[in-house]
Amino acid sequence: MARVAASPIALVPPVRTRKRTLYSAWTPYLFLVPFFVIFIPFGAATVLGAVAIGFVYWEIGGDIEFVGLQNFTFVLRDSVFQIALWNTLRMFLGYIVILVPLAMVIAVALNRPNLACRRTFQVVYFLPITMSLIVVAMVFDLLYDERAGVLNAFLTWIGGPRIRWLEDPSVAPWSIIALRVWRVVGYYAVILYAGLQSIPSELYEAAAIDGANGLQRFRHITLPLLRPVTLFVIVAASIAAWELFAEPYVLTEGGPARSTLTAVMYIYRQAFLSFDLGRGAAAAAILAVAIIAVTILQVRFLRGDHDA
Amino acid sequence: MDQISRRSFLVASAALGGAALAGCNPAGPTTGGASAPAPAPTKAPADITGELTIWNGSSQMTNAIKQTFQAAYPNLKVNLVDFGGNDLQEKLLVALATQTDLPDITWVIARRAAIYLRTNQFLEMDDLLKPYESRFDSPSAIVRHRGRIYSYVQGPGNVALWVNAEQLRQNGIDIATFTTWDATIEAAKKLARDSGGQKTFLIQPLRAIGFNTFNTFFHSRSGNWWTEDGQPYKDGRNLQTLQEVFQFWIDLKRAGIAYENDWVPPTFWQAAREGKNLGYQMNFAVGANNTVQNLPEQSGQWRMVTWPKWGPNAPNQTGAFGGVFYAVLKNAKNLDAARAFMTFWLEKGMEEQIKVWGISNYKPATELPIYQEGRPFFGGQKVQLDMSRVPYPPFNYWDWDKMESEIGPIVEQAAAGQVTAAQAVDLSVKALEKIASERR
Repeated sequence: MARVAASPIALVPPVRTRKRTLYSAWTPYLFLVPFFVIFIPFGAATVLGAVAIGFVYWEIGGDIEFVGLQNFTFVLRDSVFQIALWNTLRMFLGYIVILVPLAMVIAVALNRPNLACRRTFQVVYFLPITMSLIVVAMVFDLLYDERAGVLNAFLTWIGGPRIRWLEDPSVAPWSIIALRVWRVVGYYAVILYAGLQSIPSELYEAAAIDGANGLQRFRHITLPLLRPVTLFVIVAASIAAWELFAEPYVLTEGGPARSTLTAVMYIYRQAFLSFDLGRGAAAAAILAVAIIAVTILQVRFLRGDHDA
Repeated sequence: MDQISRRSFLVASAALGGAALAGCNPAGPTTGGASAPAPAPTKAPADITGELTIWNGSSQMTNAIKQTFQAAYPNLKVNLVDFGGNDLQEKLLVALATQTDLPDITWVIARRAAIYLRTNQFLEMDDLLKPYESRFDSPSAIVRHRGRIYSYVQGPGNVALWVNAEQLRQNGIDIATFTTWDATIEAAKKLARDSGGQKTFLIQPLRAIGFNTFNTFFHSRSGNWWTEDGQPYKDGRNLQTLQEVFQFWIDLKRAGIAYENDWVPPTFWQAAREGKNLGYQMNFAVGANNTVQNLPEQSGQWRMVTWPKWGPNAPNQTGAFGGVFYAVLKNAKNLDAARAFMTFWLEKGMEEQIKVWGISNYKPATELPIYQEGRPFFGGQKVQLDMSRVPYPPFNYWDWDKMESEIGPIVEQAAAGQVTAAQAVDLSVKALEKIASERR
């Protein structure tokens, strides 16, 4: 009967000391400690603190009074909050529907093998995101000005009508969406472009040999393989869209006729203009729940079955 | 919430930029008491030492404090922290809530006074300011809360029309015709017609400034949102006036003869340089000071036109746009200096104060030579004197932050044609009732 020689590896027992085992077990946690040292007091505690404030009436300089769910029911029933939430949702949808395809088009254009000055284009598209949001909003305020703005000057020059970019309730939300898209489209395009570069060129070559045209290659190769990156872009842009504040705050203060009042502006007004920290905190908690819920839905809806 | 008992004056604008909220006064009847003795600060200037920290929302007042108050108290170190009006408001809120980094004295936008004063963190100054009370042209010029005196308003900010008379003349418009609003609107229509809709001399802003501008029209017609004790003012005549003002506002928007902007963005002044913006309605601090600052090349062309009347037989009165005051914190580290600061602007610094705010409620101020000075930028016009001749009616401030966020959108809805004037009044009454019911 043949004897099977024992593996040399099996002959050497693993050397494990108690000290080394302990080191291995704790190492990951040690790496996490710095994060939690910062996150627990400045992240988690403040978030929990904010939620707690939602349950109290706190007049500055006065006593704190527990009011149960009163602030939450007030906010949920407040027609102004409903308007703000609806505006946020509307602008969120408009923003995503315009932003993501546009970023995709730019990314695909940047990815063309024969594109000259690729780096220059990348920098140009990326530049707006590096600019201060407030500065951008103020520059757009100048562009949008009804009488002295560049846009209306151009429209008047070509014989077109003067548009009330920020004064007309039906136009103002779109003016703000345009600003936001202009500012971030390059940023998301660069992310998508990075994703495009990770798709093997052999797939495109094989598809071309099989007779697939550009659109078919985009639909059957680019889109499916870019799905994880696209999902990231959509989720990241969506969260930013829910938090819309600075642009309408600077440009319209939520007007005209509350057409650009957003949920975060409502929170700001309750907390820092009416000095009602309880209602502001309650509204913030409700918004946070809405963002989490919509994000989960988005991920479930957009994630393919094979990712599940 | 308690009432802010100020009648003859109002609110500051300061929504964006914290630009000078401003100054002007009521020029109402000078009822007795002008000879009442005013107390001096308890200590002589040389004995006031240490440091005094002041949070300020007006860079012009910061300069005035440096040049006058600091000079008068050489042994005192004055720390001036200059904010924009809104920034100061938020910073003050945080400081009051956390009880940290509070100054000795802070600048307060009058329309928001109750929000701060109800925190019970400000020093009542009955003993110091009561002797001065009768020297103001109205008892309501004193900032009170729960019956206690806390301060006095600087620059309540009554409004007028500030126009480039020369360019209007070149466009065939004589500002002498601006005696009634009907005549003024007709002139604005002619200007718009002749310029293909490019030129105007009226503004109809949006945002909080827009609501406060709307309010000046309502105020100038003796309108009031609230009764003195903070109930919605539902008097039939008052609501009729409100409806007429809403209709005026709607008609103004429909006619397209007003610039939908305010004086904060540079485009406003650029439009003035390009000859598209030939005027605006505003208070003294912005109307005089900012115009001079931004349009030096148009010196001599501008004039102040007092608020047009609402009809040939209507009273000659205006509305007001804003006001501010300084208040001392209870925990002020240097109370002697703080008290000296509060009386300084009545005793010695009135002229400097007038240079910033234009006009004062303080009766002795009218005796200052500055009231008689002609201003070269305005073609030698005695702007302060002319403005002080037009009084404004009493007005009750309650929950002004909520007024801006609740009634402001109704004003914009009306202007956008989404609701009629009558509907706007109904919505306003409901909003007032809601605001009143939410007080806790």
